Amino acid sequence: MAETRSLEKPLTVTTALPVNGSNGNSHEREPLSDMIAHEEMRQKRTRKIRWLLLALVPLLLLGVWFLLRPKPVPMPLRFRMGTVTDAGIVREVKATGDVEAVTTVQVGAEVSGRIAQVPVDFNSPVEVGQTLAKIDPTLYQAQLDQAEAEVISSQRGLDQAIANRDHMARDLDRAKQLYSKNLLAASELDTDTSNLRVANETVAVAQAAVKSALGARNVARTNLAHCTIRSQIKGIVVTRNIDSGQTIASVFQTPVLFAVAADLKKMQVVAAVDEADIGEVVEGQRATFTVNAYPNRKFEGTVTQVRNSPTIVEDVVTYGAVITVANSDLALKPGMTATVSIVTGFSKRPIKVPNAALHFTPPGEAFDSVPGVWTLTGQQFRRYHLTPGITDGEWTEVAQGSIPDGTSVLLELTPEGKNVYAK
Amino acid sequence: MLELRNITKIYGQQASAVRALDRITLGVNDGEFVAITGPSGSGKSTTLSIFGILETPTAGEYLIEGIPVQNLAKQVLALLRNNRFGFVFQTFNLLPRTSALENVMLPLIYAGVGTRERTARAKAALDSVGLPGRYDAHPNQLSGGQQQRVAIARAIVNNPSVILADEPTGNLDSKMGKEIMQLIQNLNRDRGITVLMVTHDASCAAYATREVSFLDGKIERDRSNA
Amino acid sequence: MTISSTVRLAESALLRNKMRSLLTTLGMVIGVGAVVIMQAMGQGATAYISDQISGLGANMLIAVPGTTRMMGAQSAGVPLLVEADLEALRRRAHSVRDIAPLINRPLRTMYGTNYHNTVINGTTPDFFRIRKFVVTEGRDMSDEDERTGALVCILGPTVQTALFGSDHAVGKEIRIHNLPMRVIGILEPRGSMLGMDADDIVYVPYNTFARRISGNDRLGAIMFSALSQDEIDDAKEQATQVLRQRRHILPGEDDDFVVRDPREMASVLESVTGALTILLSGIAAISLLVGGIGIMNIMLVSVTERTREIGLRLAVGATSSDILTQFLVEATILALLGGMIGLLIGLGASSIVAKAISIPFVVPIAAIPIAFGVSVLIGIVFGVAPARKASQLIPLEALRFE
Repeated sequence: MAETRSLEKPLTVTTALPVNGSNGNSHEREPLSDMIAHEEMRQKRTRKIRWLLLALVPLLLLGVWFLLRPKPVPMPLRFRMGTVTDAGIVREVKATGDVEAVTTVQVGAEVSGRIAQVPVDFNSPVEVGQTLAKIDPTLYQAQLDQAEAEVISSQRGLDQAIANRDHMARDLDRAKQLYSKNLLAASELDTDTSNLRVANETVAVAQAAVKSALGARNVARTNLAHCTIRSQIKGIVVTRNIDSGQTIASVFQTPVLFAVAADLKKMQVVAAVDEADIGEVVEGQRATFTVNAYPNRKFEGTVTQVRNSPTIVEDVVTYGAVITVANSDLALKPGMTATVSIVTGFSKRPIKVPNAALHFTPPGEAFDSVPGVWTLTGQQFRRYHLTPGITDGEWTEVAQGSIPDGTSVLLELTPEGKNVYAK
Repeated sequence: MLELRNITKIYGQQASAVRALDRITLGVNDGEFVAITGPSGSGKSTTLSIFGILETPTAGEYLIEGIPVQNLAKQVLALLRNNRFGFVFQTFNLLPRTSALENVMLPLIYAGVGTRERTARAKAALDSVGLPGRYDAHPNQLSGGQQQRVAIARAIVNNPSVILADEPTGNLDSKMGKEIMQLIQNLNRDRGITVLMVTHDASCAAYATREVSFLDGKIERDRSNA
Repeated sequence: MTISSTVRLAESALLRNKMRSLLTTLGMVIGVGAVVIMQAMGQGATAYISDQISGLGANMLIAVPGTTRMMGAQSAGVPLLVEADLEALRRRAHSVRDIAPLINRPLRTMYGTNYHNTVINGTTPDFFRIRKFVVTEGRDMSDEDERTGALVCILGPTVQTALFGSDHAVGKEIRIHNLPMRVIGILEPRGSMLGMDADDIVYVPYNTFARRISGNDRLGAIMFSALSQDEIDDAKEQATQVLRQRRHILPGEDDDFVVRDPREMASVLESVTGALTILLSGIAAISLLVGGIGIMNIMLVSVTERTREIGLRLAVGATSSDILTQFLVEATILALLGGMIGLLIGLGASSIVAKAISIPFVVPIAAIPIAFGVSVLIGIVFGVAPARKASQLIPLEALRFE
């Protein structure tokens, strides 16, 4: 039995409980009547709280509904807004084009033959008349020699014909004298007359033969000269299509052997401007462009030509606009692709509005044919009448009319706004 | 001051009805130590239960501090059981698998006492019944006497004015019974707690200042032991 | 009696009988687990389907030239759609809300020395509204861009990365088809769709495309959205009629175009997941019922077992409502415990299953409050009977109960 331990303990309870402090039964205990009253009050309070809680439930539900109820979209959220600014407008037309030298001369061969010698290479500077290549001249020299022989031979033929004619003329003179003395028959005279005429014709033929031979000699001479291919301009060899030993045939088409660019310090870009934009581009406009080689460098040039012949690729119509540009440091190279911006206009006044603002009419407002924009103050729309100036596709200059810088203007309905006004 | 007036208690219905108490009138003054004796079925336990508001009489009036109990709200009755009466049972009635301290705290929980004060008072109660340091013991780790001490600590923890004991020594051997009886007597003497004790053991009844004997649902004898 | 002390009481009562408490919750574990798995699987499958389809936009329909004799559309020899069709639809198909042309061409995009071959799409701002595409950076295509045929483009993230790496793209100019195009926005990444990179794409205004790239008014497709979900069929029918007239198709002749509705594909898949959901819902409901009854049963046993305890509690000052609350709280804690275990098991199981059948694992956020709510509800509903029984015990009888 585990009782032994408790036996050792004193069995008297002498100490009072620490609560209510006092000894014995004399501590104040709430009289029953008070207790009943308190309890009743407590009950009443509990009931009150219970009712209050019960009343709170619908209130809470109401609150939840209130928080979750479909809220009317506030006016500012119904519209996408833009801001009037005073940064001005630079109207630009964008296009791409290739960088090329202003003058590039293609040098071809007019005669066929084997290339004997190419004294120039890519990038060689050349003077006017400088030899670029030589075609083996042997054949053409032989042809010249032959032609020259032909000239001599034909001249000899002419001399012979002249001598013959002179002889015939003398014969006729003699015959005429004899005939006048009636020493000769008329038929003899006739014979001599026609003989002279034949001799005269023979001379003419021989003269033509000489001319022909001379012509042939000139052809042969020119052909021989063409064996030496020369630069027609001062510039730089940008293309060389041949090497020595190669044989070229110039039959129906002149083969292009070299391209010589006149001056790489002056380049041009032929930008393909869309038909929609070409109307704005005129000669003299400033243009900037970039090339991939120098992404951070802006080249500046001037529109010097707007071509009238269209380029049509797959139904897309473009026109060439030539922009010339200085290239003193030779940074630009022919063939580079340039992304061009042609500045086609500046706004006269810096104040500008987003384009969309000019096309928007808030629901419920009557369409106003006088151009302008709408603003929103609280629930109220307000109309500003403005005369639009130039536009860059995103912004429009305010040419006339006043609207403060920084004003918020209505652009379009937001999706929320669309939902509101769709109903 | 507890007062039974013409209390009748009938168990069962009609034919099988048993009249447990028959027009009992009994007053108990504050500070008395009353032993209720009598043979089994004489109505002594029913009387104790009516005193403790564990049972409602079939007829008659029960007054506490002069106020009739039957008109009071259930909550008030629960409150009375909580702070006027402390119960000590023959079978201890401790919650199993629950520490002594927690068992003692039980009335304080229903009294709405805060945790810290609850623990302090429960410890003090356990100390005062001679079980210091056994706070965490579970009932199955305690002897019968110790369990009854825990039960007594539980009965007094909320400062009741009356302790209702139903055969407190019934399940204990005589030595332990004697200790428990002395404990109860001390509570009555030193702290002025009114004690109503049902017992059939004359030696236990001897601790009381007054003995009320029941027989067949009636008071047979009511005498002072003084 | 405060709530916390009630809970503590219930807690200690349950802890006194740990094993039984745990077993009691088994029904709840299975029930809530099934609810969670159902939710996770259902949401995962729905997410998978909507990933594949709703990426196409809400209430969306697409008209493309071609016939549907075979599975795919056969478009050879069929006239394309033109801009005028768009106008006709806009005027005459009244159930149509937004309408957008769509034309594309594979082209090379260049930025500096980087280039990337991708598909250039010409379309209008409506398209972005229909498809609900959002730009993460920069701005949307505006009506102004479309009206003026502006040289602007919106890039898919893949194109941005290919051309710019990690640099900012918005505001820069890229070249497409020898046109300088300013990047105005970057689209939100959409990942891959049916095995294709949906981010490898560039959008330019339709007018820009028609004027400067294709040079004609032909369209690859017309995309449009119905006014509401209820009007999708109307919109489809109206569009079909308008296009038949426009394309001079005689009555009785087959269409030489197709109006596609992504929902048709979705509905098949959804019916499958629907059946699955119903099955799981059934299991869940039965399990929850069984779980609830299990709790009620154990609680009733517990009340009987603890009659003396209840009597004692009444004797030391508990009111009957204290007892009622205590047992209700016990039942609710049991149910909640089961619910929580079920929630964890359900989440674990569904993440494993989701991985196994390769659908996205969606944590069913809604299932968590549902699991809590259902648990508490079941605890209360099935706890009421035992708790009432306990609270109505008469103190003395309860104390004498053997």
